[in-house]
Amino acid sequence: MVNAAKVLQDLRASAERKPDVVVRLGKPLIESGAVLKLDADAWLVYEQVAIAALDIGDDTLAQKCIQALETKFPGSPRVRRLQGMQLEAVGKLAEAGLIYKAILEEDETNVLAAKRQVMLLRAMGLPSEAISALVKYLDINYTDFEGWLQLADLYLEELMYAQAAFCMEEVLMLQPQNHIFHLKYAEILYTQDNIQLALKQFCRVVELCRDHVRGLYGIKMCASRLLKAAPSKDATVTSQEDLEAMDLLATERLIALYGAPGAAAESSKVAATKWIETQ
Amino acid sequence: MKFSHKAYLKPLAHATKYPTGPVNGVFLAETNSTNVVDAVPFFHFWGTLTPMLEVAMTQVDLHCKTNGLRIIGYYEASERLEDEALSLVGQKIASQIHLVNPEAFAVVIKNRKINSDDVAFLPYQLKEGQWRASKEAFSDKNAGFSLENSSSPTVAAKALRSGMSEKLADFDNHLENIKEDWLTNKAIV
Repeated sequence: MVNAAKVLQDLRASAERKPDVVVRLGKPLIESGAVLKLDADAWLVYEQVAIAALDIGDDTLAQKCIQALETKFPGSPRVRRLQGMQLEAVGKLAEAGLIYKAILEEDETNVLAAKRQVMLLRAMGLPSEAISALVKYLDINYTDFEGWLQLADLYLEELMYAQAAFCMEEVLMLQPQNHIFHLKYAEILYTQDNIQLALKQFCRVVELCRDHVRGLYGIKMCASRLLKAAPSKDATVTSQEDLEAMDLLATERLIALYGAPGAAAESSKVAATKWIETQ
Repeated sequence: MKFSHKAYLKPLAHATKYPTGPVNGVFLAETNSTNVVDAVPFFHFWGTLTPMLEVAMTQVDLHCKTNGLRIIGYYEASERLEDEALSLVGQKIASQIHLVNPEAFAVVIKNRKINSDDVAFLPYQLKEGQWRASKEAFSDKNAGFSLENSSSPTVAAKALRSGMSEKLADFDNHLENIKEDWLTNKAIV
């Protein structure tokens, strides 16, 4: 019992989306009533399990949780957001929209409702409207890096790479030490054919997270492309020697990582080694 | 195109492992036939970005040359249940494969059919520069798409219900942990 609560708590902290785990652990707690022994945390668990239940389609469990929350916190906007999500889950998108609109009319700063409204527009197949709504939200809440991340994703779905890159720059201003955000920015830059800047960002990834395989692949991709291109006279670009050094470093590290005994499946190792040799 | 059980199962396992996002990958065939013998799962995030796609395609190509195979098609599944359109990115990737191999096709997974006895693949073929869906592909004997085992959908659905998707490794997984066997996924079959 204690273990289940701990796992659920960890998942709330990490915000990973693992609805099957949450339901598997949370359902017995709720159905047996044991959840109430968690005191204040009980209501967080109800909310967490409600959302997970909606995710995997266990509408009965979701209803049970939301009902319990409604009884405890009647009229709460936080609970009404869950009711909106419940409607979304069964495809009643317009009705869900009305709930979020009502919450925002009472309190235009309600973050949960504003965010649901953005994603609702996306679910309705209205990406431009979703983007506009999120841009409006970020005008006010410009330090919400998760908002910027979501906006980057909305732009990427529309293949608007330049706008997505701008969003990642905002994310990185707020979260400069997160190597995954540098990685995403690097890959967007590469996609835009901005190989010089992509290389710098891939290097940052490996700086922040030693031997990061994806980052090393990125360095090798960029360095080899730049080395194959005509050398630039521009003094600000990375020199040929530096490119060769980076290419060598990435090559050495990848070979070492794949070559360690038992590190990779035979087929992976063969393909990766050939790839490294022929880049 | 005749799909082996493995080639039918793996894309569905990929879609089932990541139901909340789009997934994609490629199909492999024997060098000299249209027997689609395998599928290699690629991504479940950042699918619109190119660097790792280039790495994946090159490595699959190298893997093919070592094993007497060739890349013959592309698959994807949308996170939206009802979406059966071939995405823009999917069209680009499939077109690239088609340049090298004019027999190349694309498949969009019919999400609603994954847990059923019906074929959950919707093939697309390049006709007059456009990717067009072949809705009757598996039921029309002349359309050129079939399953090696007519029981594949039923067997696959059963395996997926038992949670087998968790064992599938795609290239994204491999990049996070190079121990993941993304090219052959021996744990699945």
